[in-house]
Amino acid sequence: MSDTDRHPFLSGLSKHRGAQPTCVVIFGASGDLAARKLLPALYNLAVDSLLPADFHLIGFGRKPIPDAEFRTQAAADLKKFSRREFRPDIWKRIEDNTTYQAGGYDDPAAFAALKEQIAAAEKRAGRSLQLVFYVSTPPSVFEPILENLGQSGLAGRGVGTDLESKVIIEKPFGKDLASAVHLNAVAARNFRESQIFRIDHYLGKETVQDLLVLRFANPILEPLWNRRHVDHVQITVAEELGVGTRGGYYDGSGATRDMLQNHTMQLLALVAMEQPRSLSAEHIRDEKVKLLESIQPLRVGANGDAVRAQYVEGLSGGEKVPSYLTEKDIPKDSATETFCALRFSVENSRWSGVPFYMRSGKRLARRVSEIAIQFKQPESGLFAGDARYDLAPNRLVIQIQPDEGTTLVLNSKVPGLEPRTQPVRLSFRYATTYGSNTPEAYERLILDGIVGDRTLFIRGDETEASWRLFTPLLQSWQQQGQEGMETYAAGSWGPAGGDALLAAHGHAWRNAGR
Amino acid sequence: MAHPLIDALPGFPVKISAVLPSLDKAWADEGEEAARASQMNLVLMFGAGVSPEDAQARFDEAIRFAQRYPCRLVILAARPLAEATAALEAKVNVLCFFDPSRRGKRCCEALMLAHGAPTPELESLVSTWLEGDLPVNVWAHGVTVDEFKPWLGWTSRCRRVVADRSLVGDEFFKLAFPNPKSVRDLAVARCLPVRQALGQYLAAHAPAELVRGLRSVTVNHGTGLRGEAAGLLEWMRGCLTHCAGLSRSHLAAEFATTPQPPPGDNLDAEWVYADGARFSWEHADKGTRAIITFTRSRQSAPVTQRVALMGAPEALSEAVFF
Repeated sequence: MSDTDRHPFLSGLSKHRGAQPTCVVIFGASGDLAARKLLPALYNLAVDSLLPADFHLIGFGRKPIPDAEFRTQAAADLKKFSRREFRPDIWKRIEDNTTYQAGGYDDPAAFAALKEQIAAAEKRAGRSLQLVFYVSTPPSVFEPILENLGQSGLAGRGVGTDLESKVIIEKPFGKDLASAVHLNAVAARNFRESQIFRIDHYLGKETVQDLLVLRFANPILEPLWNRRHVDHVQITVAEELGVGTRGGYYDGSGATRDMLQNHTMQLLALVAMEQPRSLSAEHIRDEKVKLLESIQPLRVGANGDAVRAQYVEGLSGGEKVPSYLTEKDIPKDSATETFCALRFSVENSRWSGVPFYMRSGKRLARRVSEIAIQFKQPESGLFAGDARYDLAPNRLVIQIQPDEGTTLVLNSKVPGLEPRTQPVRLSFRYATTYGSNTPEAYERLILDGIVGDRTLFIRGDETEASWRLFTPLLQSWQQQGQEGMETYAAGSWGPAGGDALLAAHGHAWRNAGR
Repeated sequence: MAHPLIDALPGFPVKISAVLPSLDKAWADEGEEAARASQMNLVLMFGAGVSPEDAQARFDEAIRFAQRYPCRLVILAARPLAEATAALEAKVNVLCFFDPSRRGKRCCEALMLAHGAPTPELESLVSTWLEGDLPVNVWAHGVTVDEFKPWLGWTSRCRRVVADRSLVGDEFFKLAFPNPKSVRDLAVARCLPVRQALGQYLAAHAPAELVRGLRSVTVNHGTGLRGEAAGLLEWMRGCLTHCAGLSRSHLAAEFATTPQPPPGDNLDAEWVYADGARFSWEHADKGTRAIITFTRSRQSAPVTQRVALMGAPEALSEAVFF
C-alpha cells in the first residue's frame, strides 16, 4: 500500500508504525520455535512500541494448556530467549490480551472455538481486528490448518481491505516439486497470494537485506558484477553442530532440503538477479524468479554438479563427537546427507560461464554463512608473473553470520625498500559500526507480515522454481540410497568430493577462519 | 579562562594541537579489544546560557545515543559575548562500557571545545576534528538565534540539524538554513508514540466522520511542552485537512494551542464538533498513559493506552535518522 493510499492519520508514520489492530494466532504455540523466536520477537516489537495498540495473541496447539499457564510459560520463555531484558510492564501489555486455544489441527470444532476467541478479543477491543495466522507446526499439518482456516471463514476475513487476514507459513514449503505445487494449491484455495507469507528467516537478516543496497546503491560495483570480471561465486552455510535432538526431523530432510533449497537459493537469487524496476515486493520477486529460471538443471551422477556426504566421528571444538549414523533417532542405514555441495550454471548474458558453488553441512569446521565473490585475476599486467609479488584475487565476502559484515580483499605494498606485495582486507562489521542495534530476523519478518509487506517473503512461483532444480537431484539420490554417499570427519570442511567439485574448474573453497 | 561547561564535563584537558594525538593515545590505552568505529559525527552545540548541570545531562544523553549508534561526539560550548576573545579550550574523553550483545568492550569518544565568536578558522578547526566521509549531525541545545547564525553556512554540509522547539523557540526554525529539509524538531520527534497511538486509533474511523462538523481543535500544554503542543497541533491540522480533501468536506475548524497546563504539567487535546460530539486525548500519569475518548466511535467509552513520550536518545535517533 503506498503512503497516499493510507488513512490520513497514518500517512505520516512509517509503515511499521501504522500497523492495524491485530490478533496474531500462533499454530504450534507450545513448540520450540514459538518459545525461542516468535514470542521473543513479539515481545521485542512491544519494547520498540511497534505492535499496534490493539494487539491480541492467541496460542493454538494440540496440548490442552490453561490460559494462565500459557502466559506463565511465555514469560519464562521470554526471560530465557529474548535478546533484551524482560520487563514485566512491557509483557503485561501483551499478556493482558493473550489466550490459548487447544484443539486438533484437523478438527473443525477447534477452529470454531478459535473463531469465538477471536470474536471475544474483538469485543474487548471494541473494533474489528486484522487476523495474522502464524503456522509454526510440523509440515504434516500445514494442509489441514490452511483448509480449516478457509472453511471456518477466518481466511477470508477482510479480503481486499486494510484488515485482510494473513497467513505466515514456516519452512519447509514442500519436500519436492509435487508437494510444493500441491501446498501452493491448498493455500490458494483458501487465501489469495496477497495474503500468503512464506517465511525464510534468512531474508530477515540485516546482511541479506543489505545485499540489495550493496549491489544497487553502490554504482562502482555494477560494472564489475558480471562474467567479465567475476571468476566464480561461493555460498557457504556451514554449521558446527550436529543434529542434536532434532535427529528424527533432520533424517527426513537432510542438508539439501534443510538449507540449500531455501536459504541458499535465496542468497544466490539476490546476488545474481538483475536490478528490479523498483523496491516493490513484486518487482523484486519477479527478478528472483527470472534468475532461478535461468539456472541450468543440475547434472546428476559421477562428475556431475552435486556431492553429498555424511559426517563420521571426528573432533568438534576439540571434543570427540560421534558419527551421524550413531546419533540419536538416526537409522543405522540412513541415506540422508548431512553435507551437500553443488555447482550451478546461470545461463544469461550476465553470468554465462561463471560457476556458482554452494555448500551446506552439519558438523563442519565452524559456523559460518557467507557469500564470496571472487574476481578474475589478469594473466598479464605490471605485477603478474613475478614471484616476488604475492597477489591474491580480489574478493568481496559478505558474511551473513556470525560477525555480520563485508570484507574486500585487495593487494597492497608491504612497507620497505624491496618491492613486495601482500593481500590485505578492508573490513566493515555491522556490530562495530552500528552497535548493539540489530533486531532479530523474526522481529522484522513478523512485523512485515502484520503490516502486509511481502518483500522479504517468498512467492509461490519462487518455491516451485527452486524445487524444479532440486527435485531431480533428490529423486536420484533417493533411488541410489547409500550408493555414492561420501563421508567426512566431523569438524572438517567436508568430503574430498566437495573440494574436487571446485578443483575441476581450478577453484577451491575459502574455508576461512574468523 | 576556564569555561564552566567544559570544566563540568568529564575528560582530560589538552592543548588544541594535542587533541587528535591525545585521542589516539586514549584509544591505545584502552587496549586492542575496544571497538573503535563510527557511523557518524554528532556535534552537540551548547549556547552560552546553558548551565553546567544542563550540559552534563545532555552530554549523558549524547553518550547514551553514541553507545547505541557509535559516533564521534564533538561538543562545542559557546562563551558569552563578553568572553568572545578568550582562548580556545579543549578536552578529550574516551568512555568505555560493556556491550553484552558483543560480549566485549565498546567505547565512545568525545572531543570538547570552548570557543568564542565563531570564525572561519574555528569552522576549519572543527572540520579537522570530524570523522571524514561520515555524516555530520548537529544538535543545537540552548543555542540562541544569534549564536547559531554564524554556523548557518556550515550546516549545508550537515545531514541534520536538530533542536528542541520548546527550548530554542520558533525563531530558530525560521533561520535561513541552506538546506531547510535537514532541520528537525526534537519536540516533534519526542511525540512520535503519541502520533502513532492516536493515528492507529483515528485510522479506524472514516475521514468524513472525523471532519464532519468539526469546530475546534485545541492542544493544551504545560510550560515545558510548547514545542510538543505546536508539533501535535500541526500534525492534527495536516491530517484533518487531508481527511477533508479525501471526503470533499469543508474544514472550518479553529486550531489553537493554549498554555493551560493540564494536571501534571502535561499535554492534552480536544476536538469539539457542532453536534456536541467530542474527541479527547489526555496524557495522564506523567505521560505514561493515554486516555482516548471519541463519542462518535462505536466504542465511546474511554480507551486507555500506554503511551510515553520518547526518551532523549530515542528522540535524537528519530530526528537524526528519519
